[in-house]
Amino acid sequence: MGLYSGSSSYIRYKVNGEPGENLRETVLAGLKEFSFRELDTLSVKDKSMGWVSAENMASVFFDDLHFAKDPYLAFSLRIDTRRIPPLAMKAALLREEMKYKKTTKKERLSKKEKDTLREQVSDSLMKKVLPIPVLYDVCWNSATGIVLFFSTSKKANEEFMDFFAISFQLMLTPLYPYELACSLIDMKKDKIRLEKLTNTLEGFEWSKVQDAR
Amino acid sequence: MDSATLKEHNQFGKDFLTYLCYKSDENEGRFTVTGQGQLLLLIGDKIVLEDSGDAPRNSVSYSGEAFTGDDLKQAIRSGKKVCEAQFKIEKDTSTWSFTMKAQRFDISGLRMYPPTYKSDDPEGRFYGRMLSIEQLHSIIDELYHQFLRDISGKHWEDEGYKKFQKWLNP
Repeated sequence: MGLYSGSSSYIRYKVNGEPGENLRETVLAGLKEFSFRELDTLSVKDKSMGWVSAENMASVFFDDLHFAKDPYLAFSLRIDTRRIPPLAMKAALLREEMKYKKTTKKERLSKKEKDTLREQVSDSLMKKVLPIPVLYDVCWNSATGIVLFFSTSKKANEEFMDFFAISFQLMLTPLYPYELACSLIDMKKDKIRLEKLTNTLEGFEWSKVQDAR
Repeated sequence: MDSATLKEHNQFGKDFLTYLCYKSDENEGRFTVTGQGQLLLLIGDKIVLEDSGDAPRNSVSYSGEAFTGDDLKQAIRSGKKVCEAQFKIEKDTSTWSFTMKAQRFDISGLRMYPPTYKSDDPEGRFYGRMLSIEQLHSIIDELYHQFLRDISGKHWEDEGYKKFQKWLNP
């Protein structure tokens, strides 16, 4: 969150390459195709990921182009995850194992039987677990090619980069210190050579300062 | 060093934050930034410094209002660099308060205080916030560029470096 209210936490990205002339249409197509779909209560899937409106996390309607706020494109990535509590899984599995032993009159179960039971229990519990939604805002400045992803979680950022590439067929470069330095040098047409700034892996030579104490 | 190694192992983020803290302490927060004019950049209530290099790192963290420029200098003298710091930037009527981390330049806990952005109109609030965030980026980018230019120029070897030593070892 953080696009509309509260404090903001984010990482900056640059879209690689030149965006096409019909960027809005391309993005609209990507948002629609990869929009969020609720996890089906009958399904055993544990995760669903997709784009939603930044103004309403329950809305996947983009045709009115409300996400286009010239020059920005603003939308959100919603990720719903279902996770079975480990103790609930353990308890249910033990119960099913006891039942199975009684029915089959077996004292011990083979690994294959245990695995089958585990899968059955997991599938049955998964349908009962409520998904937990997480929402991350995205703001893309179509004029500068800069995208802000409003989370600093490493995992969320990795998932976002992959999903962005799949949705819009465009790769993102995170503007980390090295990448930002390259981008600024390129933009300002400077002759700074980054490799000259660090002679060792220790970085800038603050060590000389220690010697001078 | 080839660019792949440099990309993987560079210390630009830590060097930049260390440089910002040094400059802020030396100039009482006053900076002149290309295209932005004069502004105030102050170290906030939290700063974390850690050893450089790839070896297991020791770190030292200061929070609250108790730490001083002397604590900062002592940590830098012991070979540590700033890996995370809270900053407050004041420019005209705008103020930004945020934490910046050296590894990925991620911004967290950003709060902006221009009064016009308290609007109840969501569209107005959106544009107000985005313009404010982009102005902050312009400032950070200019400061970063200034840092790269500063430490790569001959001026740093001749003068800047000595000034830095003098600040560090008064």
